[in-house]
Amino acid sequence: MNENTIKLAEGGSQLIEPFLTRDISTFGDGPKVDDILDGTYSPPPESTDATIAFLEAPPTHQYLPQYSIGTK
Amino acid sequence: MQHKSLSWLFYQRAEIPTISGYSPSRHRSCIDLMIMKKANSFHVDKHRTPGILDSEFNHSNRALQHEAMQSALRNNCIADEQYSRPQRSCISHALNWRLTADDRQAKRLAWAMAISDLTGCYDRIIHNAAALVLLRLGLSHTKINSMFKTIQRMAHRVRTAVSDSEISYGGDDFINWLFAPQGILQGNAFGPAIWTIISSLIFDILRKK
Repeated sequence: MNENTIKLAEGGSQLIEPFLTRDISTFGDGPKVDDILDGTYSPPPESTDATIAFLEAPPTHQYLPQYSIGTK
Repeated sequence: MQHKSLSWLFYQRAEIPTISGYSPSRHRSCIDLMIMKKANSFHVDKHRTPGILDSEFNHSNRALQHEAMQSALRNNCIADEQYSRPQRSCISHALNWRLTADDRQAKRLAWAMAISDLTGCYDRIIHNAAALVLLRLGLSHTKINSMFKTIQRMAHRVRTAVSDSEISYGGDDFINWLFAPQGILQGNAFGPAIWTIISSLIFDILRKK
């Protein structure tokens, strides 16, 4: 039962599906993360509306110049 | 600690994981504390299971929480509806809810309210989704990686009224799993801030619908 708590997210979001983890990776340091943060990323066709809405963040979440993608 | 040099040394050592993105093995252990939600209700699935984390790991998470929350507030990234933030309280939330109901009733206005209990919301947070939100707030990859690597490779033991379990789950076993463990653990000092920031984003998305 306890082990299930760390598996609850499975099936709940497309973000852990292979077609998106190859772009974002498990920790958000994948090859397309820069594009997502810049707003130039095109989600794969399999993406649902909810996934697209999340990846194309709304205006209140502006991309900040100090995000440190280059420090990994 | 009185000794300045030793204090400096330990402080620097504690900073290594977040500067480098490294996950120290001493951080990767968790005791799942099983607490009854209701008195004398011994059903296993009726227990709350906060994780007791390594104190140094959780201290680091608390620093990240402060950094993320300050950045979110500075950049107006917390939804107005979200009361889990500095300067606001649960009592204010309940009072506003009551006043809104009274106001609608006094004006004889039709209105509806939906209340939902988001079961296991901390356990359902996807790490790369949280990482994207935190990157937008200015947190570095190394800090994010260090925390999520630690959570994904964490070995869990269960503590009951009798003792701690001898066998564990999690750890590096997940390599054989279809998906890596997700969730941010109840008991993680960064947990409430991550939920506040992600839920604010969800509010924004819903408002656009």
